[in-house]
Amino acid sequence: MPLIKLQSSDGEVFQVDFDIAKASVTIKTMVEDLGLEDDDEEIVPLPNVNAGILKKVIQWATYHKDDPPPADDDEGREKRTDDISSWDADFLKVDQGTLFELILAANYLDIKGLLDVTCKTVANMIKGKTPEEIRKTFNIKNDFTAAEEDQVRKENEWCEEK
Amino acid sequence: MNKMKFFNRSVKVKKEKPFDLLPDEMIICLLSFVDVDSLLNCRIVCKRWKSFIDAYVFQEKASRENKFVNNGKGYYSFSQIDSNTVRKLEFPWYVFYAICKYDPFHRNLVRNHCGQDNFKHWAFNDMWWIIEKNPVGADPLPDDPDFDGQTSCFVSTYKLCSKSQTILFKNHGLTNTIMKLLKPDILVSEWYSGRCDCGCKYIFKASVHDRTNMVLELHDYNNILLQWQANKWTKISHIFKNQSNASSISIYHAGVDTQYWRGHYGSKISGTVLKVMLPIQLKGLYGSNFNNRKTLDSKFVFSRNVCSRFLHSSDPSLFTNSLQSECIIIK
Repeated sequence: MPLIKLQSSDGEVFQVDFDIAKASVTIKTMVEDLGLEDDDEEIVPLPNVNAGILKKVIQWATYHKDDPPPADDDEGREKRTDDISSWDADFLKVDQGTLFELILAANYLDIKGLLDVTCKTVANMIKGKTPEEIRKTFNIKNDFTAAEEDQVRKENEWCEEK
Repeated sequence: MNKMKFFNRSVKVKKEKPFDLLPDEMIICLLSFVDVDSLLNCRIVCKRWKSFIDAYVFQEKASRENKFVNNGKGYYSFSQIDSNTVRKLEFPWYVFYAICKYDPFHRNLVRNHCGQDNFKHWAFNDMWWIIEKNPVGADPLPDDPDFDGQTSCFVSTYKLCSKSQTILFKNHGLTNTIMKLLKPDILVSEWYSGRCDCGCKYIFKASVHDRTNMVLELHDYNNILLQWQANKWTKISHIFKNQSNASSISIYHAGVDTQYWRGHYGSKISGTVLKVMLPIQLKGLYGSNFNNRKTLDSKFVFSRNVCSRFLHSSDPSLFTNSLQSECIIIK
């Protein structure tokens, strides 16, 4: 199988099977547009992804290389956030910074499966928490005044007429 | 040296505030994976989140998850590559909240509408009714989506049989606020028939009530089917319009045979439907304030991969065509 070279933002070069790298639509398009040949020495630069994150992304794509491509009619796919495979769950047991950088990388590299599963993981961290717990989890500052916060709470209550 | 400085700063930011790493559109994308109830809590977290959620997240979520509104393809999602085809519905966030949570529009809100669950969910004044798994002495139910694949019907006898069902809009997330805002068309319909060998009488009443249970509008209909001609299924329907104070609708129907025959020779009733229609306004596409919108929406154009999931076709006319065939466009 043909190998391609990916260069991270901090200069590290990874040699990856093209069949694995093409999980990234961005890389796939780039390689096709550039017309890179099998034994080409050219390197695909990825200025938005550092080596640590790129390594994780390659690890994810390697594990998922035989997954069927997402179906055209995948209605309802995003509805569930409890369908994360145990391998993915283990893979995403990382610190918040890494998780969020993976989201950015998945978005930039255009890897739908990885973007979904990382977003779902963060969504699950939010699920069922009170506003104060959410703020604490992600270190977000509450910039509402007490009166403003009260108003938002009231609006929420109006959604559910008793 | 400069590089080093930058590196240190980015490490510091990510350690302290992970959400500061993400651009606005990624936060919107991410929050749209959060369940509706938790999203209400997210509105209280901070001003930035609240503004995203109110303007985009509920809509994005509804757009992705609701079958009718977008046929599962994000028709009215703001997340389109080309802002010329941006279709944003001009509804406040709580309408999309109701869509996400209750899916109240363009869906039959009548329960057990063909007698498939025996006598459940109906209020009876008498227990003379029976249910026929397939209509006896009459045509089978027509091939119509109203029946939702069911084959059964309620059948009356020689004494007047009646029953009713009340649909409370708030149980489907349609609060007074939403009803006042949208004044949606409310469609009621039903099918009736008789036996080929016996005449029968059919009565239908639908009444709109406000929150004090006062009747705002009543629609009633009755008909007598003659002997030897009663075996065809007929649909009756009515649309209640501009009922901004509607809080509930009661559907009542009754039937009896005209021959006073022993057994169940009276009118047959099935496929009772009540649908609340979402008045769709496609301002981004046709409206006069399109230019104002454009600036705002183009700011939030999703990056390519998020968009691609909504663009199942590269031909924009396909989108427009399917939109027109599936949506009621109100000026």
